[in-house]
Amino acid sequence: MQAIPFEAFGTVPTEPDIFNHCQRFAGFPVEDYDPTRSGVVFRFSSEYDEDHLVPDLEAFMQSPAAATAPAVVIGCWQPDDSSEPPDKVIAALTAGRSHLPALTAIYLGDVVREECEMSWINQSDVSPLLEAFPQLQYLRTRGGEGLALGSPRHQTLRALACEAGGLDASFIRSLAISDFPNLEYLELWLGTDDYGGTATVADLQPLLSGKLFPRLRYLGLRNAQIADEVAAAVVDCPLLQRLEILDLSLGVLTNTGAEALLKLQSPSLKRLDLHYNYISQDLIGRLEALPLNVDASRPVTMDLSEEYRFVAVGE
Amino acid sequence: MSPWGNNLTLLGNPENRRITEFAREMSERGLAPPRCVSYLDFLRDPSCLAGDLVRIDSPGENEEVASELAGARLQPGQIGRLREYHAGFCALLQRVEARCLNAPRDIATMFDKWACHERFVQAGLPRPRSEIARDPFTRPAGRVFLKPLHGSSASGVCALRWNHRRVELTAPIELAPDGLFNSLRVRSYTKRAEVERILGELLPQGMIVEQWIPKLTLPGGAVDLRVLVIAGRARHRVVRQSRHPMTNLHLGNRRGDEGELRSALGEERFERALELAERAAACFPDSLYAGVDILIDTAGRSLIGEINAFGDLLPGLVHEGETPYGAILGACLDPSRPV
Repeated sequence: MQAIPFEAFGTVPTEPDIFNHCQRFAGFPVEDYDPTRSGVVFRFSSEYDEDHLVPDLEAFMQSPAAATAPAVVIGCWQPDDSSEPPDKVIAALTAGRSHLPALTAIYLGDVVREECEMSWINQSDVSPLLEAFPQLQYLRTRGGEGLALGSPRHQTLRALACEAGGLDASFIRSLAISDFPNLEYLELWLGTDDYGGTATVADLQPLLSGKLFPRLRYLGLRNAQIADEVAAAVVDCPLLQRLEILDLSLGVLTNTGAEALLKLQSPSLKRLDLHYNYISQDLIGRLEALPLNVDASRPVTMDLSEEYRFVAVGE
Repeated sequence: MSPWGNNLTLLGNPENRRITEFAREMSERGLAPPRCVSYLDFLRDPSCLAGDLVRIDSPGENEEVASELAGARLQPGQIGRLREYHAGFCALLQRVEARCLNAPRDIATMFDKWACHERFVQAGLPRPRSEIARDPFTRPAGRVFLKPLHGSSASGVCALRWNHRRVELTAPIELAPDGLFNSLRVRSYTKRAEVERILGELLPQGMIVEQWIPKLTLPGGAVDLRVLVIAGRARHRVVRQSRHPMTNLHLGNRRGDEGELRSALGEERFERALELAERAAACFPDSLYAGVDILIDTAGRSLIGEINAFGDLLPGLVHEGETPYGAILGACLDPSRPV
């Protein structure tokens, strides 16, 4: 079983990437499923006029290519209907587990806005995937509605990323009782309370205490309406003392949060990702003077007027 | 003005830049200034157009004309009496007896989205699945576009998504106590009562419900393509790019980069999009020009969005050295073109 390079866990680095299907996943180029091709990771998706995701996936799992497939990308499973969770996809994958012996990475929800806005994606309890693939290293999901980890434990999982317009507090709390001893990378999109993002800084405390995830190197608390509060809570949390990368990108991070981040002190921290922010130029300059690799870039299309301060994805 | 005759009359609202710009284009070509007949004059005396070659332009953006056509005065920007307005405009078009660059009955049909849909489908051209809209909430969940049958410029167009928990209607509409108003800002309504009020106002005015086609997305947003077809040829086009469901350029959207679209799509598919626009315009053989909106789905396939009788207001665009109005005039003057 090949180890996924740590750098390959960041699948949606910048705001414009949210609106396009991933080109690479877990270090591999991604192509739409084509039974005549090999050597790439396939993306299985239904289209607005044809619901062929599960049949494609089943056909693939019966083919010889499945035996060496390192990753699977699942796209849109609910073309017109906003009420369907991916239960059939999860059932197909778990039923076909024996055909996917090399699978180390799953993206459940490479669904772009034009197909289904993030807050309209219906998710599910994804822990059956953890149970079915004991060698999994990387699980990425998109969509907060219905997302759950009923049984949050896995021995080899190295990266967990949950993109959402809002993550429910109960989901964050389920991580506090989780058992992921090898987790190196944790990316959570907190979102806004308009779209089910109910987690508060208090719900994050168990993560920030440093008592969980002994191998964690990257923490992403992204797309957060409460980015300023998150920044204030993170600067002096025990976990920071062993993190390498702190990612507060895509949220409503303003001068208040930036002031807090100026006090960052960590022997291990190498990189601070603040891409897509509402910080003044002056403070950006001071952050960039920190002895870290600081990314305070903004997409060219970003609206900085105060009345429109909003997370990158809340829809 | 050979071979179409010696003079051209513009029917429109004389204060509108459509009229002033077209007249300017004529004078730049050294042509005699056009006669301009205002809609208000025509409504008083339809015979003032007789015998001429006429370019019929938009009656829009004039409150007085609007209230004449709709049979009642509306507040500025109000979305109302669309059926009455359309009936009034069709009755007016029927009274046009002159030869026209675009046939009055074609223009009337182009302002009926259902009639256009049926015409395109009968011609075998790809269109999003559509129906005459009724209460959408009889289905448990969905994602559709609702468009007024007789609207223009995205007025009253709603992107609607709902399931058993939530509803979201996105539209360039301001919901005011005294009715619906066009808004230059695209707004999002998530309260069921507000959504029902908006649809309660719009559905009785006639709407078409269209399947929501996921649009091809380039850096900067999803795109579609406006193509001006003149004398059968796809000429000026503009890539319209948006971060919300309406791509109309007056709604804070931007012109996208055609080169980017061509490279994302490939030349063959781009050419197919232009061909589709030509085939859509060919469904209206008595019209010299039309603006066709081409939707491009996430797989790069083209579908017809809509056809616009007055879709030639594309300031700043140049194709083969001609502005849109210049190209229309060029087609009028082309001696090889049968009248």
